[in-house]
Amino acid sequence: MSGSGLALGLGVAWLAVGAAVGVALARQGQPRPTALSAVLAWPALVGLLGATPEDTAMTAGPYAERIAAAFQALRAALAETGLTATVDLPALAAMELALRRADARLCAVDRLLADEAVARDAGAERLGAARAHAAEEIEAVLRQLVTVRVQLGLVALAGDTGPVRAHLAELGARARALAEVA
Amino acid sequence: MSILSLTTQVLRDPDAVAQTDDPRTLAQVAPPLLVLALGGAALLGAAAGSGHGPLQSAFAAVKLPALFLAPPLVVLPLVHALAEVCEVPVGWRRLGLSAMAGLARSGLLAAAAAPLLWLPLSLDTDYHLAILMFVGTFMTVTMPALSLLSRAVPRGGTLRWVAVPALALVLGLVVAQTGWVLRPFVARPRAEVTFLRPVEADVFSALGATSRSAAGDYRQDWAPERAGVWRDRSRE
Amino acid sequence: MSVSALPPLPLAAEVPQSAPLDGAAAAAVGPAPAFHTRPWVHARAIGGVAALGVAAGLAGQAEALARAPAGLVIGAGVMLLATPALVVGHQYLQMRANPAALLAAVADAFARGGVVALGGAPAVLWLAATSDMGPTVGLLGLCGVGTFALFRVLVNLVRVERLAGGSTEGATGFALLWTGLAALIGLRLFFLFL
Repeated sequence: MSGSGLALGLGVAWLAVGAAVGVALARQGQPRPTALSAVLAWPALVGLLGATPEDTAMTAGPYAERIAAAFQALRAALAETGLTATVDLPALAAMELALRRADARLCAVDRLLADEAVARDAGAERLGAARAHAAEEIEAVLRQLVTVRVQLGLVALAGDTGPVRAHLAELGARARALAEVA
Repeated sequence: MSILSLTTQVLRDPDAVAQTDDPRTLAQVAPPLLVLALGGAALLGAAAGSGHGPLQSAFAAVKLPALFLAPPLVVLPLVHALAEVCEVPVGWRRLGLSAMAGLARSGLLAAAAAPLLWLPLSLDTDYHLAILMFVGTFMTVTMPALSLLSRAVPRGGTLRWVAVPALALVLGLVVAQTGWVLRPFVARPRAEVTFLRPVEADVFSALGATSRSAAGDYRQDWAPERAGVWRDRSRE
Repeated sequence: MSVSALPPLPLAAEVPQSAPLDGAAAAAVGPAPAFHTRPWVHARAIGGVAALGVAAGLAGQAEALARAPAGLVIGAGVMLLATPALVVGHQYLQMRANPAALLAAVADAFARGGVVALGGAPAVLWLAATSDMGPTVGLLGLCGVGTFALFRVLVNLVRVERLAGGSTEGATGFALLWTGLAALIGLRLFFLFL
């Protein structure tokens, strides 16, 4: 096959794969413009495959920016200390997702409490207390992530990664409990 | 986020757009970022082809977005693999978002540079100088895309000093060859206007022929060696 | 429907108290899996080297395509021929790391090289399809991947020795000698098969 033919064939294959990715994204519940963009730019959008519509449609709550910043800082600290290989990165990603889900639920509860009719109901006080407790837990996990970063610095000098992994496992359990619904 | 506010953010603080793993962000901003990238590249392409009439201008406006888009996306798997093996893994979503934001930033810069390129080309600039100006403009406006993509990978890592030059080499090869396949952008003065030329040889043999011509050796009259530099010499 | 009629919210009941893990639980949190033992890494590494070879030979040159598995053969050959010398020499010199750690270090490096080959295969495919550069780019890619893998082996061998409590200087010198031997074997196999 000539060079021109192969190049053309690759171009057609690119568009075909893009169309397939676009269809998959559309079936997943992604917006139509996103699915259409995949026809041309599918290598940049393959990361959306497998993301649940819930993840994609998740509302950013009051802690969204702090959660993103905290995990970005933790990943940067892991990289700078050369300790990325010592932690379970998928578990770290799952912890971040659990916190974001809890944050999204906080946002939903805040909207509910902002409704005057709900605020006048007898159960609103209990709802507010539960909301405050959940917010305290998210704050506590975010504070502990800062402590983990300090521990990473110590580990970089001393070498024992056990306490860091144990700490992250505990934080993961707390984040999952925040996000799970009975 | 409106496309105008996204444009402002991409120009002022692209890291704020790119540095997140949130799938919601990627899904929402990917389409407008793509529009900004392709639109800006099309404007620059139109300017590049303007010296040879409206048809060449239109052809270049269609092809230059492909030259913008294809090389960074083709090497994206290599960036992901190198980051993973150098112990600074980066997720596909962050990488994709950084690539799209970088391309959009470059597209906006290309749109701004288009009139700067058009002005000298509209004054019948010498062909070789026009080529140099086009290549220089292209390199200048695409650098921010590479910079933003490189910032997607966290700092640190092992053997990063091996990975970065290797990546730059592969990307340079892919850009050069893609540009060669999609030529012409700036047409030769007496050449017929075509959308694409047949894929002959490779960009390196063409560079060799151009170098010889620049030194006064016109024996092959700009045509690249038919079989290319990389031909199987054992068959000669 | 009023809020008070809703079932009890799970948040207040189920958020655990923040108690630190006890010693047994902490010990159960083992080390994160090494790179080469992660799921699918071997498949990606082997597939990557094979894909690099196929991509390089795609532009219709049958002879080049026939050489596509060469990368796998060369990698396997280096590991089979050079690794015994690594283990024997390392133990003979009374160095601290155990043979399993040495083998894991080599496997890790080659797995990483293979993953890089998989990442580079699309670029090689594009270059091969649009020019006559395919075989040359494929060979250069194979050399690049091999060089990266050898650098990584060097880093890994020094790291496992340091973790076992050995001397960094001694480990570096030995690792340099061994990677030099592996490079020579790789080059010999390279010219034998290509």
